Amino acid sequence: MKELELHEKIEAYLKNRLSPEERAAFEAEMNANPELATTVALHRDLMAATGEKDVLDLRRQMEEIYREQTAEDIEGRKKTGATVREMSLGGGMSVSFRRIVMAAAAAVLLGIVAVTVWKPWQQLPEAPIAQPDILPSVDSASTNVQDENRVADLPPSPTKGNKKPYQPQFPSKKQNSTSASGSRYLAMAEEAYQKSSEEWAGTLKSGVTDGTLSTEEKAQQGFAQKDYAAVVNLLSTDSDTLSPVSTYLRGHAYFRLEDYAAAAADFRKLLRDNGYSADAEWYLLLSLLAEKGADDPEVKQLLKQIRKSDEHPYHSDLQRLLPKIRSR
Amino acid sequence: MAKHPNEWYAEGLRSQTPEVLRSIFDEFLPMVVGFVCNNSGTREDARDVFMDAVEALFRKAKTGELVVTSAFSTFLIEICKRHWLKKLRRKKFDAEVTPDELVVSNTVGDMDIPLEMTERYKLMSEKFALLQKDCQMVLSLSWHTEMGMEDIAEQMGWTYGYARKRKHACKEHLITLVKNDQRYQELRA
Repeated sequence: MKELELHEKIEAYLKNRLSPEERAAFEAEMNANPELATTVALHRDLMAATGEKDVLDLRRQMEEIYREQTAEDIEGRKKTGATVREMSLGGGMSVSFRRIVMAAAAAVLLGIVAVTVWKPWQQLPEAPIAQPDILPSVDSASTNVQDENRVADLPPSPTKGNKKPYQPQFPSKKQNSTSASGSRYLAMAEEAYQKSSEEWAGTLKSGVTDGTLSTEEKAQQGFAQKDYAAVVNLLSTDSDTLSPVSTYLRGHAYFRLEDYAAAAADFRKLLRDNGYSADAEWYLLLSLLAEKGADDPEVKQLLKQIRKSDEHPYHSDLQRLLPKIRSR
Repeated sequence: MAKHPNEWYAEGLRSQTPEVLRSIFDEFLPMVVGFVCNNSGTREDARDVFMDAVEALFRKAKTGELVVTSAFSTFLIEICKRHWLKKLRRKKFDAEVTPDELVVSNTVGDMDIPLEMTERYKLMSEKFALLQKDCQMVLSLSWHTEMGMEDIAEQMGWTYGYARKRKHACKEHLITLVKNDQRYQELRA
């Protein structure tokens, strides 16, 4: 069982959402597997620890009382004119005057050494940025995927101003399949796409026969029925007026039609959308990988971006893809 | 010597009455600071030990299991002493001074479990507070409400698939933060 599914099962167990049979089977599994039992216990603790509002309130109160008491104590000592030697922080602990003097002297000495050796007023030469060895070498002329100009300079949408039904042209496949490495990247991208898009595609509505469906709902239905050309035709409008949901759906339809350039264009538009930016990064990466291969500057940038954040939802998908790219 | 009867402290602690909490700190914290500082600790250690003890007492009090057979002050101080000495043993710390005459009463032995729970939960909520805000929110909504993942995704403005992955990534990060903390290893030992 994949880790995500296991964790969801653990939570369902802890929230009493399993059927009696499922629960019994899961408990038997825990009894036979101490590691699973430990994982379940950890989940239980995390859920409990983060949900105890009364305990959190108590801690906040105690912290506040402690801060006030400490401030009052120090203030009180100041008013009585106690010297540093006599100053007590409460409860009988005296601060050594000798220790304070020694600590101050050490701080001054360190400051002198730092100024002598470091000389912060001098300009430091820029250190070359080391490239991670698992990524292809960076082209010095590469542009940042976040560049405003790049976002504005998009390849024209195949459907813009075009009233004719969409016909798949397979331009990207032809472009990238002329070399052995191009075909390999294409295969990698398609395999990774297949794995990561399964669960999303499964959530799309299908089988609804109500004639009052909106265009977007019809497009979703079309996607669920694998009529990707119909999806593109339904959503063939000026991209600026298309909702993020529809742009996302159309991007996927293009990908499945192997029109990777068009897919990339749609995913690129969603990079700044809070709800879709992470998905857009991943699927843009796959689209460009299929279309242009791993040496493309934008691909390198996306690889770096997703890799650097272990909280990125596609971080683990990337970790599985990277060794394949490296072994090309 | 405590200024008030046991019931005043126990009930005030259970209901988190500010006056009672302040009184507990004013009257008993200095004694704990004295003990801890005389046994290889600092004022900050004493503060942590004291707050853990008060929190553990609160846990017992809110479930109605708190039974104080001696004076409240004696009970609380004994819990703190036992807690501090256990912490020292966990750190394998060779105390510079171990008073021969010190005998930690075993009458507060039944506070061990709530104390360990307090330390464990405190560690976990500290690490939770380090997560990004959207991580905190998606985990809170998932764990502490009856909302399904579809509704959570809608509230967060995410796709369903993204919400599932994001939640999983956030939880993994939280687990990593907890497991990498030395206190987690000490508590498991």
